[in-house]
Amino acid sequence: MNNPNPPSLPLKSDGSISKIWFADDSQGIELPFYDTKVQAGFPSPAEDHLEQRLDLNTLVIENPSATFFVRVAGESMKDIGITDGDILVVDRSIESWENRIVVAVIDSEFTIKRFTTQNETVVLEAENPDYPAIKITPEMDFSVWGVVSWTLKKL
Amino acid sequence: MIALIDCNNFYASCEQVFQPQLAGKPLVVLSNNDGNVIARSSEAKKLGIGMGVLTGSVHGFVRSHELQIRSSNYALYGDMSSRVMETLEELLPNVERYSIDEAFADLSGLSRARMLELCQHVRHRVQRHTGLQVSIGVAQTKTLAKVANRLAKRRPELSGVCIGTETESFGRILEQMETGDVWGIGRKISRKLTGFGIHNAKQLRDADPVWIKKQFSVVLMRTVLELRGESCLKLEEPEESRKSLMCGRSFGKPLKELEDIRPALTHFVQNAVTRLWKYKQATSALTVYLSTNRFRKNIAQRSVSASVELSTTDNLILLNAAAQRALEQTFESGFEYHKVGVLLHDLVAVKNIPASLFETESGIKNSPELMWAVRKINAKFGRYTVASASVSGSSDWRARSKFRSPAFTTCWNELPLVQA
Repeated sequence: MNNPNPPSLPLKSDGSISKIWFADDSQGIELPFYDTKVQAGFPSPAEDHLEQRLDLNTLVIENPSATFFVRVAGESMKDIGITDGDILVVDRSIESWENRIVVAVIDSEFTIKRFTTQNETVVLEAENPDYPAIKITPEMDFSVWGVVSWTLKKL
Repeated sequence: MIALIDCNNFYASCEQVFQPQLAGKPLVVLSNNDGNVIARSSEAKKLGIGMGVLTGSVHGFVRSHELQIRSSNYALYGDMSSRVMETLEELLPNVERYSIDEAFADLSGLSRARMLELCQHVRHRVQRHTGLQVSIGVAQTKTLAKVANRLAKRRPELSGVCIGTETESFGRILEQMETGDVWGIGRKISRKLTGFGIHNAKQLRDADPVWIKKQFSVVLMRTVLELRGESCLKLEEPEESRKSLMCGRSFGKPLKELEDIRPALTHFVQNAVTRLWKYKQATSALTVYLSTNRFRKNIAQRSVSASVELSTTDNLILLNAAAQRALEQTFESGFEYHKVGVLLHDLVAVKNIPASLFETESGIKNSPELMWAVRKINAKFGRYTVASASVSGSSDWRARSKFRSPAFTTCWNELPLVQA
């Protein structure tokens, strides 16, 4: 498991997590729309910049510099509603991976699975009985690229 | 104390973040029209591949599949650059975006231990947010911070951070550096210094500043002072070998309207293009940044960038039109904008501009009259933008970027695919 990029993942060679760096939650985006009371009638001119329509970005993007979108190919996660063609919001700043849906890199390929640790070994679980879980062995080139925070699905 | 934060192998690393199959592989990025190597992964450097014209040995490595190549992808690099800069601005005071992959920050008042801790935190955070590695050099002056950064990159045992609190401690390192490796010193000056028996950076540091000023310039004298640990605020940037240049800063007061931001952007484009002309360079892609003030927690935040490609040019009108189009793309009303800036990519010497099918600029460029005219036109900028927009963005250019990766972060149709 010697992935040259990115190297500083807090994973030990046996797949266990050696160190979790402190997550800084001091810099989430402020949502001024909620900070102000809902106005009845005309709003105060001083607050006109707060009167925007709801912006989906403010809902799904908590950390803009670390948020990326990816597109899903395949059905291994269909039981939790992630299917072929969906767009996922991936937040790379989330550092607690356990039991989260993650975009991982295994042997140079992106894959999306549920990250679990079982007996000190990373196991990537599918959400579809037709797909086996992937046990990460030391020979595999493995890293977590980011944590999926939202699914965008066109109906 | 000044920190220089610099991304390692920035263009190549941006490619590797979204194409895991390229990670750890020799990779070069080509200039527009795929003519020159403009960036290399560390593995490509180890293969001995140089910058500049594509040589036979490069073609050989490509044929034998030892080397991957990509055309430059400025939409991707521009976006990744703003992500890095935003992350830096969240963690460090007074971040000065200096180029597409470098920024200065002021670390004054911190203990050495605290600086080290902060720098490692910054490295970790940028890596986590963007997948990119940065190296950080800290010293009394910008020029010495550059030297420290160079060490941080070259000595693995430093883990990417080099803090030189004592200016005297730089002596041995400077002795091993050629003058041409010092920030701001081009090949010509370096050669002239050699003529005077000044071969390395330590000898330059110990030269008499007054004599340097007389023989060379006040600019080089400032470099000497900076090497001695005296910070010169008016430090000029090295322009000769740069690959990109950046111009922009925050407004005096927040601006809400597109029409108020346009003149500011025009001003920065003019500054940038003037600097381009000074060293007879041209560009083929630009990125415009627009952001609100992240330190004002009670306002709606927005930070965006957009990139435009065009056939290689140094024409102010074309570049400004392209920048204004990018601004229109990024602008959304309802925010109090705080900062705008422009970044010119892929700089080449004017004599290297490939002949373009769409060459329309002869006879109007580079004149003071043009600058004057543009200033006059600024008043009525909207009309002008429309007039010149059709000229840029030749499809001819695109056809030649044969090895370009998708715009992974800026185009819905080109998102990275993940296997489920």
